[in-house]
Amino acid sequence: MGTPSERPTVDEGAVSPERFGKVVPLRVAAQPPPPLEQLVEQSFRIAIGMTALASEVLAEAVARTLGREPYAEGEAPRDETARPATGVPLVAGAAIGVALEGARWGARAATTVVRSAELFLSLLTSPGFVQEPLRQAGDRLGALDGRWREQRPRDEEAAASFLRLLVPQIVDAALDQIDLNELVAERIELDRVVDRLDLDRVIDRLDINAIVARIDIDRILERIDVRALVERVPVDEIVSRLDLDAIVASVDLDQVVRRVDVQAVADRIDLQALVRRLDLTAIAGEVIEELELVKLIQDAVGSMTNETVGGIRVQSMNADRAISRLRERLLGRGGADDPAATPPNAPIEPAADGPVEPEPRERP
Amino acid sequence: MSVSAPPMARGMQGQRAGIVSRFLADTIDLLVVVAAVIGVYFAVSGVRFLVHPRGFSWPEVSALRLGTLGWILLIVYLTIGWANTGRTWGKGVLGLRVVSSREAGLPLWRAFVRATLCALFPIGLFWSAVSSRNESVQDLVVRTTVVYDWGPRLPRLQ
Repeated sequence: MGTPSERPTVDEGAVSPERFGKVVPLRVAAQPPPPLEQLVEQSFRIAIGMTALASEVLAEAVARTLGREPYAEGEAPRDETARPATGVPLVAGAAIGVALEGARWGARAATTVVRSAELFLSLLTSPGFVQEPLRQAGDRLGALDGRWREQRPRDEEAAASFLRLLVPQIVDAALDQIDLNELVAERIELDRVVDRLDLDRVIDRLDINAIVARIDIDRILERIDVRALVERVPVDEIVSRLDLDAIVASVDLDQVVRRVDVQAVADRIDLQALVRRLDLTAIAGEVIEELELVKLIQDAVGSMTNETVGGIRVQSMNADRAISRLRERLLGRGGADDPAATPPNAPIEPAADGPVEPEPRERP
Repeated sequence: MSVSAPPMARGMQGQRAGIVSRFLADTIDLLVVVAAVIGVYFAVSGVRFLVHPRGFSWPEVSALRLGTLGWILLIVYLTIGWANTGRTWGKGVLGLRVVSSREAGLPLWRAFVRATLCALFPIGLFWSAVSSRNESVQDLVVRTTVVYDWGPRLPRLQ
């Protein structure tokens, strides 16, 4: 056994993985029980620490009951080790140190006394007349220990049942006193939590198809008021922002037209029904009235007929005159009774200008 | 029918028409009568179809009957035309008019006689090719004259 500074403490043994060096043991054997003085010292440390924490929490709770914060806003809690203690804290700390050291030396002394007592007791229990009562006492103690071990599961089960009833109530009571939202906001840095989340992996694990399959689209659509939705859309504003010329210019209309099956479109049109719905009589009447078609036809036919008839009449007149001259020559007569006063070499020309009505003359 | 007349044709108004104009006008009148005969045939067939739709058959008419029908229609057509305005449709196309030697138009009986003579003796028309006054046989018998007249009113006979 060395000096206190050379002995490893329980804390050091618990938190120092370097004690095994770089060799990782396959199985660690059960640790031997620590020496008594270390147990006593650690017990004292725990007791003193708990006492300090309890006193601090108690003081904080008392301060809250008085309606004020234990620390001003923005002020960090006091660091006890930042500055040397004075006055009562100094005395209290020294007393705790003395108690710790006393407990450590007391434990060492107790260990020495126990080991000496063990040696002395071994000498006392070596004779045969002493062994027999000791063995009987050991048997009695073993029977009692076996009974306890036998009842231990039932005791533990009863204790567990009691705790199962007690713990929820304690937790509920504790949660009633705690604002979890504020606690999370104060204690948990959500940004760090989110940074550590592998969202891609989360998304990969999601079965989107299964989620979508569970959605009742019809029910959602029934609850949507499409009319109200459309009325909320600023169509005029959207249309005013659209550059329709650019959109139309970007469309390859030739390709679109090539892909249209005009024959199929024509086959699907019920022309008979379409025509039946049209009031062709009224439409034709309006068109004719608009075009003054009757007047147009009358003018065209009349003009064509007048020109044709005029030509026929003039040609037949010329033929009459020619035959008349031929007749007079054959009969050797002069032109005295020639019905046509016009000379034979003066043919009648067709009209070239507007209509000229012959001057009305009354017969005598 | 009112047709514009050139200056030279204007001077011919009221003069006696020659054989060519009169032959063309009569040809048109003959075609009109033939068309009327065909129309009568189809009209009779239509009436027969309406009366006996199931037992309908095109009526078989002899050439004599058709000729008689055409001859009657020709007389009626010419009579009505000449007694009314002095011109049939053919004479209207050629700008001709049948006038009396002494009156503005033809009375009904003279129109009927002239039409009957034309229907009985159509070849008499060609006498106008020989006559120095362009008169056909019918004109000589009924004392009528055929003149150029493009206007709606009667011209003065020359």
